[in-house]
Amino acid sequence: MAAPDADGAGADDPGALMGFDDWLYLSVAIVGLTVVTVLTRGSFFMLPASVQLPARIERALKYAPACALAAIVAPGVLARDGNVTLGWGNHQMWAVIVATVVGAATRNMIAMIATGMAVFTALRLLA
Amino acid sequence: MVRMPLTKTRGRCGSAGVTGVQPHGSVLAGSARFGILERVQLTDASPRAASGMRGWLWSWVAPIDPRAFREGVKVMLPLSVAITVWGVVTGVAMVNQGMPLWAGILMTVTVYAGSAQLAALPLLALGTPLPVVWATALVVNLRFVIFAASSRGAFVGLPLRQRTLAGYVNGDLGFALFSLRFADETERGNAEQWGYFYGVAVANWLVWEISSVVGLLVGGLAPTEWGLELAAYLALLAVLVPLAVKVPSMVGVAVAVVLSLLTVSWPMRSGLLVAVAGGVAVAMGAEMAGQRWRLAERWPLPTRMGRARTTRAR
Repeated sequence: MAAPDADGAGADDPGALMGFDDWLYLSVAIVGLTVVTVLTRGSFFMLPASVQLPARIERALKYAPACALAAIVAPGVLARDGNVTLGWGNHQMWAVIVATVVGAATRNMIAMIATGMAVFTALRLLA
Repeated sequence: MVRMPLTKTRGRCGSAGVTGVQPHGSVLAGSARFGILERVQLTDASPRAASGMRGWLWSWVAPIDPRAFREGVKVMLPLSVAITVWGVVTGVAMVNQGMPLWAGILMTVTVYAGSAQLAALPLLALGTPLPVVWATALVVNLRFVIFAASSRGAFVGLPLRQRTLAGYVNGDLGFALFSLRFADETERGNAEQWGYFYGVAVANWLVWEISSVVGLLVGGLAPTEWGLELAAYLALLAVLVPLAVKVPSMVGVAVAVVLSLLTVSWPMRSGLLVAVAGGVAVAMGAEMAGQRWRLAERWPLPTRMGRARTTRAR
């Protein structure tokens, strides 16, 4: 079942109405996401005190969120319709690169978002 | 009327230096525990003793010292600017990507995890199968498991529902502030700590919800060519950058980026989890390699060098 355009895999399926138009899909998704929040944030709060986090698992967990965020941001910014577009024409890419540098230097979330959007808007209007 | 016993009990608890919720069997511990109970009764006897709905709701909350609660709220005030930006960006991103208003409000009130919400958003827009959406949010939220493991100390021994609610509201900021505030206290778990915790949590929740709803209402007004969905990715990036300052996580992130781009055409975003698994594996490998490298190379002292050689030879 190799879908030619994976990004539209769900939406293009005939008969399968999923996405923001499907209230049932959205509702079930939100309930599940709430459960995910409770399970992760509450995990060790709910477990008995005798249950500890094994050191090896803690080491793996330490890296997972950063990798997941990267794996969401990168295709969102660098790919269009399932094709990776790296180049001068990708304004989002430059905005993200500048914002990453600013973020690494300042650790300031507001500065990151502001410079990123400023770079993107400047490129959109000028380039 | 309330303040007098408050200071008295605080002094007694501090000098006792034992936890109120983990009895150590000594007389002092007993008196400290009694002190807390006494204070609780004095400070919020009325709502807690209430029967029916009100009493049930209060049963979810650990005992709160009102003064520490106000301190927690006050600490959050300067930080609320950042939360507001983050909340507005999330709200704007939700409507901008086509999510209906009702779903946006429901999501922000119940899910209450900005990074997971933003991460799930593009997947939901494409109608990605729900297990993939949930798994993605779960992985993004895994950092909270570590927070929970290291900050539950003050809540051990409380009823399950109080622990569950405390965990649910224990976000990035709350975790950081609470750890800083009570870092040198030997006593873990008293009404002062819980009060501070809930003060931070309630302020955080309110600012987040208000700003998200503002974003949801305002977001629809912005034209799509402004590219405001980029702001959502930048907000995720703002969470990512502080997590990836050390070399192993940087390497892992780079691998995850490459893998996520290579697998971008895989069906149903299945490449995302592959990218995460690959990134984590390489990061752990880099961490181990780094430890070995430090042992072997970085110590200029001859004695260490000798030991390092044997390590490397092994």
